[in-house]
Amino acid sequence: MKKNEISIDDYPLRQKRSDLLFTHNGVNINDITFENIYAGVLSRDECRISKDSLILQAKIADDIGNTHLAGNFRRAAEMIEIESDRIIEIYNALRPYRSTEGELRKVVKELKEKYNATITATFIEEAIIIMKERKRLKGDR
Amino acid sequence: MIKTKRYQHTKAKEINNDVISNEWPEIGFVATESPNDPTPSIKLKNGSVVEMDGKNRSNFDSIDCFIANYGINKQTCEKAMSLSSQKIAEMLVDVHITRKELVELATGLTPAKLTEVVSIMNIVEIMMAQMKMRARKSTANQAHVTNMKDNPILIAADAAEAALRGFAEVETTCIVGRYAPFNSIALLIGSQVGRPGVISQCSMEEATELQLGIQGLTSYAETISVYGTEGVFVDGDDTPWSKAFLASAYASRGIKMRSSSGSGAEVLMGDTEGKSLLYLEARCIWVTKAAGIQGTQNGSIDGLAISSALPGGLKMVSSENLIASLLGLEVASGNDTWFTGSDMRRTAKLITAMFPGTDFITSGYSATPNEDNVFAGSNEDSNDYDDYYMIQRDYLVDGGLIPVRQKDVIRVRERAAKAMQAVFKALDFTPISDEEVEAAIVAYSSKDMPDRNSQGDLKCAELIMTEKITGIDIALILKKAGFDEEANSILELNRQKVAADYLQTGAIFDEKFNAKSSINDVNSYHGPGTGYIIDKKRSLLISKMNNVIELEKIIENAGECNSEDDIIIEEIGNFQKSHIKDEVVVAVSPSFGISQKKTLGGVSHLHVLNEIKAGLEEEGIEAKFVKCYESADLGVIANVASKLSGSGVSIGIQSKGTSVIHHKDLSPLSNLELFSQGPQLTKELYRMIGKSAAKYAKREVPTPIPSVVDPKIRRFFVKAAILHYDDTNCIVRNKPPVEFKYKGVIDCEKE
Repeated sequence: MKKNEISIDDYPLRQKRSDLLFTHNGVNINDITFENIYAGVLSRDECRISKDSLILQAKIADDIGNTHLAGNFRRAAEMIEIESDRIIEIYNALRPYRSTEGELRKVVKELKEKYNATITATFIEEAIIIMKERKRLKGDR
Repeated sequence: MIKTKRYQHTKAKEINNDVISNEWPEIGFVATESPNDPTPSIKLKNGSVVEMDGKNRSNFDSIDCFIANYGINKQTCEKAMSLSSQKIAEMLVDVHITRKELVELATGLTPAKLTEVVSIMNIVEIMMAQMKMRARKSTANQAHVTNMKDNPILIAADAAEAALRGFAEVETTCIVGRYAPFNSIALLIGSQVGRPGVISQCSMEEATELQLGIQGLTSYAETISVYGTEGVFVDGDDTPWSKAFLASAYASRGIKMRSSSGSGAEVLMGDTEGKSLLYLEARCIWVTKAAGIQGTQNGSIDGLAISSALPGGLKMVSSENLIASLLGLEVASGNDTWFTGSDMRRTAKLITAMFPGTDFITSGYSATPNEDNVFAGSNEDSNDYDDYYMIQRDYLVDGGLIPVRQKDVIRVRERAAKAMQAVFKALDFTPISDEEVEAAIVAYSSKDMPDRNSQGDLKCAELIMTEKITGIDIALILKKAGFDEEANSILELNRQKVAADYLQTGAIFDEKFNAKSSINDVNSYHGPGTGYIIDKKRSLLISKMNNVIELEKIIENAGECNSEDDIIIEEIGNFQKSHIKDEVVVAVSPSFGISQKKTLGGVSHLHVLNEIKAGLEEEGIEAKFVKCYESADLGVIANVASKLSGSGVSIGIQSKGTSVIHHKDLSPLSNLELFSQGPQLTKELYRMIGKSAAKYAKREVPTPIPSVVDPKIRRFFVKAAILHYDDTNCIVRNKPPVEFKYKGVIDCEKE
C-alpha cells in the first residue's frame, strides 16, 4: 500500500472505504450478511477483524498525529493471528511475579517466530529489562 | 454550650453527614501540591529521557520508565518543558490557541509539569479549557444498567429505556459473576431495541471481559485500571506493559477500550509515596496515553470519597479530566459515584463536567434507581432524569440525554423484554414468563421482578461461554423471531468490529452506525459561536419536556368552569356615585367573569363575589359592583372604585384573583391591605376580605388579615402573566366604569 493512500478523509472506512475492509478470512465487510451465513459462505464465528483494517486505522491515527494510538493498533494488528486463549496466557505471563526471564524470553521468541509479531516482541523485551531491574519476575517476591 | 436553633436545623441536613478531612501529605491526603511532589524537569541524552521530574533514569520506577520510553515526545519535550506553567495555563484558556497545538505541546510535558499547569487554574478556567480540549465535538453520556437480582429481563428493559433516553454507551456488571453472559446479552439486546448503535460493556475481571467481547456479546471495555505508584500497580496485579498488552488484545478483536483511573485509588490501596492525588493521577493518565489507549474513565471514580474529603478536592477532580483531554484522550468524566447526601453538592460536581462538556459527561449515570446500582450507587440516578433534562433546557447545554414520552418508554421496554423471551426460548433456557415480561415493562426496581430459578439460570449462563454463543447467534435468533431491526443492528455491530472505525479516539455511533470520533467530529472550539453548537432540531428535542405548558391554552383554561360555578355579568349602566356611607364598591378587572371565569387559585369568580358580598353583609354593609374597563391594574381599578364609593372604601379584584382593599384618600399604589398572592386566596379569605373592608367602611380598625409568604407562589407567575395579558387585552379606552349585577348560570336557568 502506497504511503498516504489512506487519510482522515477516508474515515469512517465503513461508510467511505468498505472496499478495503475484510474479515481475517478475507470476506468483504459487505458480504457479512444473514444470507451468507444461512448459505454457509460465512461461519458464525468468522467475523473477526483483519490485520489490514487495523493498519488502516493506525495510518488514520498517524494522519491526525496520534502516534501513541497508532502504535497500539500496530501491536494489535500483529496479535490478530494469536488465538484468544493464548493471548490471555501471555497477558497473565506479563503480570508481576508470574514468569522468569527465561519464560518471558520464550514468549518473545514465539511472538517473533510463530506470529511474526516483531513490534510486540520488542515491546515485551523492553518489559523484561524493567521487570528484572524492578524485581517483578517470578521468585522476586 | 448554647447553640442557636438555626444551627440545629443546619446540623440536621444531609450535607453534615458527608465526611471531610484535613490534609496529611505524608500518606497522600492532599489534593495538589504535596511537599513530596517532584519539581518538573526533563533531560534527554541521545534521544532518550535520562531525567524526568527530578529523577535520574537509574532511579526510575516502572511507571517512570514506561512514560519516558513510550509517552513523552522526545522531539518536542525540551521546548515544551521550557515554557512556564503560567504560560501554558494561559494558552489553555486562550481561544486563539487551538486544541491541536495544545495536545502536541502536552505530549512533551511530564506528569509533574501537567500537574503544575492545571493547579494554577481556577475552576472556571478549568471548565473553559475543558470545553476547548474535549476530543469529540459533540458530547455524550454513559449509563449504568444493573440490578441487585442480576435479572436479565429487567436489564434488557432498562437498557432499552437508557438507549431511548440518549445514552451512547451502556455498562453493566453483576452481583454474581457467573451471570455476566446473561447480563451482557440482555444489555446488547436492550440497547439495540432502544436505539441502534448504542454500544455496551460488561465490567468483569479481565479474562471474562475480553472473552465476552470476543464472542461479540459486548462492544467495548472500560475497566482496565492503571495506577500512579508502582506499589499499587503491582498490588493491582499488573505492570504498565501487561496493561498495554491487554489494550492491544482488545483492539486485535475489534473491541473499543478505555482505561480507568482516578485520584484516591493509591490512598485507598495504601501506597502514595506521599505524593498529591493529582500528581499520581497525572502519572496514570500518562501511562494510558503511553500505552496507546484511546481514552480514559477518570475523575476519581472509586477514590471520590477521599478526593471529595479534601480542600480543593473536587476542583482537583475536574483538573484530572482536563489533563486527560489535554493529552488528547477521550474522557468519560466520572460523576458515576455516590459521594454526598447533598443534592446541591452533587449537582455542583456534575456541572463542572456538564457545562463545558466532556466526551462522556458521566461514566455511569445510573439508569436504575441507585438501590439497584451494583456499582454501589452513582452521582445521578433514574429518579434524576427530569432534573437533568431541566438543566439541559435551562442552560441549553447538551448533556447527551433527551426527554422521552411514557408511551415510547413502555414500547421499548416491552419489546426488549419480549426479545429476551424469544432468545431464551430459542436457546432452550429457563423460560421467561409473560408475567416477568409484564413486570419488567413497568418495574421501578428489581424488587418488582419475580424471583427466577438461579440454579437453572446459572447453568444456562455458563453454556453461553462453553458453547461460545456469539452475537451473531443472537442476531440469527432475533431475526427468526421477527426482531429484524435488532438482528440487523447486532450484525452491523459485528461488521463494525471488522471496520474498527470506533476504535479511534472518542468514537460513538449514531443511529445509522456512522462512527463519530475525534477524527471526523473533532472538537473545533476556538471562541464564542464555534465548536459544538446545539442546532435548532436538537434544541427543540432537549427543550421538549413533558410538563411544558402551552401558553396559548392558559386563557382558554381560565375561561372554563363547571356550570354550577359559572357566572353571568349583567351590566346596568354607567356607575353613579352615591353618598351612602354603609356601602363598599367592589371593582373587577375587564376580563372578570367574561374571558376568565376563575382565579389562579381555582376559585370561580361567582364564588369570589358571593364570598365578598356575604362578608360585607355580615357586617351590615352593602356591596356594589363595578367593572373598570380602562385599566387592568389592580391599584388603578381599586382607586377608581374607592372614589365612587360612598364610604370611600373599595375592594379591587383582578381576574387572576389578586385583591386589594383601598381607600379614596390613598394614592393608587398605596392601599389599606393587599392580597398579592392570588393563587393562595381561598373562598374563606375572600369572605374575610369582605368583612375587613366592611369594618374599614365603618371606621373600625380591623386586625389585618395575616398573609402567608410562600416562595412556591412563583410557580404561578407564568400563568399570572398570561392572564394579566388577557386582562389588558380586554381594556376599552375611554369607557367609564359600569355598574353590574351578577348571577350564577344555574340560577339563571332556574329563572
